[in-house]
Amino acid sequence: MHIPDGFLSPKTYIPAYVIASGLWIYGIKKMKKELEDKTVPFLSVMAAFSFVISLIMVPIPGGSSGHAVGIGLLSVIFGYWTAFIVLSVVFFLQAVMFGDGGITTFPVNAVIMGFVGGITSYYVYRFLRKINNTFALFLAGYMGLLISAFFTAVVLGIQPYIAHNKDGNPLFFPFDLSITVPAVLVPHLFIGIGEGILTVVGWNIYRRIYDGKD
Amino acid sequence: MEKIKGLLYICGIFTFTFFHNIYLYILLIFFLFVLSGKEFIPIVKKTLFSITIFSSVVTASYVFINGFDWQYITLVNVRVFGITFMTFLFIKRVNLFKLFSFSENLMFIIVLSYSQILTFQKYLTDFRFALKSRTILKPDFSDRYNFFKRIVEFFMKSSLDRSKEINMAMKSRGFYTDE
Repeated sequence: MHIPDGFLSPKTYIPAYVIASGLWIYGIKKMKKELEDKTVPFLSVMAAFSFVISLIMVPIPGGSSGHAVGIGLLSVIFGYWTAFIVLSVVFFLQAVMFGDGGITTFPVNAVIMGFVGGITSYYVYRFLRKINNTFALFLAGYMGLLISAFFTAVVLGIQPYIAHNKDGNPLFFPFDLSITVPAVLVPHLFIGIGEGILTVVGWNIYRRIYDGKD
Repeated sequence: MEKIKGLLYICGIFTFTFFHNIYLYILLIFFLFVLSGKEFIPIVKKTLFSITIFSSVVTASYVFINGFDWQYITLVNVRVFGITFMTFLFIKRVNLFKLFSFSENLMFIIVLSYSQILTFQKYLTDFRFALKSRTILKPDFSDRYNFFKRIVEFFMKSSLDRSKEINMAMKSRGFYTDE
């Protein structure tokens, strides 16, 4: 998901900045209302938590491992607005300080992974938690990442249609939806397992710390 | 001054993405190289490290599917290199914390997040070394799972505790005005 700068056209990143800015303003207002003066320290430390979580390899049964982002975990614990704002801070710092991603892809990542992914995880968990809490948590993490991957594939796949020269040759990302959707989704069917495991493990740890139960 | 640099950076991004001329890109990149001065080599290294995997996969796949279209390949790769180089040069030349000084909260979030990230990265490296130094064979699934659980627990607990500590520290230093 860490697309460098130069692959997304202005027709993509400018509207993405407009949408993301609106969501950031609303999200920060909502967070400030809930957390009051705790907003700044909470947001900063959770951004660092999410950043470090993305560096940890989650062991997957079968001997493999994958990276998680923490979309599901942040969303089910703190709500999707907090997840969105925290992940936006992480993506911004990754882009400018650590060279992971880019400044034009940052709002796209924030909206898709932070907001769409966060909202998916939140509602998947809410709808399924009465059936089985662990299953709901796993699926919340899994679906949050998978839906984010799908929309990332769509954003990449529409580039040849919206940004091409007079001869119809692409100017930015060259592959259309028929290539990007399977190319991005198939590996994420597997990577999502790591996100699901992280959501279950992280939630249980959080409950143990705060509620004294598993 | 920081705001002017920020404005120039945005103009640079627009130039690289609104115009599709390889020669213009090369001219701009040459100008950026001159501006980078002594930091030229470290920034080039950082840029290549940052873009190589994604750009190589896209380029190789494009050649495999569509054949060798040198114009497209050069245009995209030079653009990706140019914007990324410019971003790293911008970060070297601009104090990001000053750039966001127009909003006190935003500046605090960036400063605190960045400092916490550096601390957590160091802890994570220590954890990895600890596991490495205590295992001879490749750890099995249950060992790796337990290791992963302990790390998540450590970072989650640290984050929640630090959030409270920082809040109290900020309060005691008069960052908030109680009404």
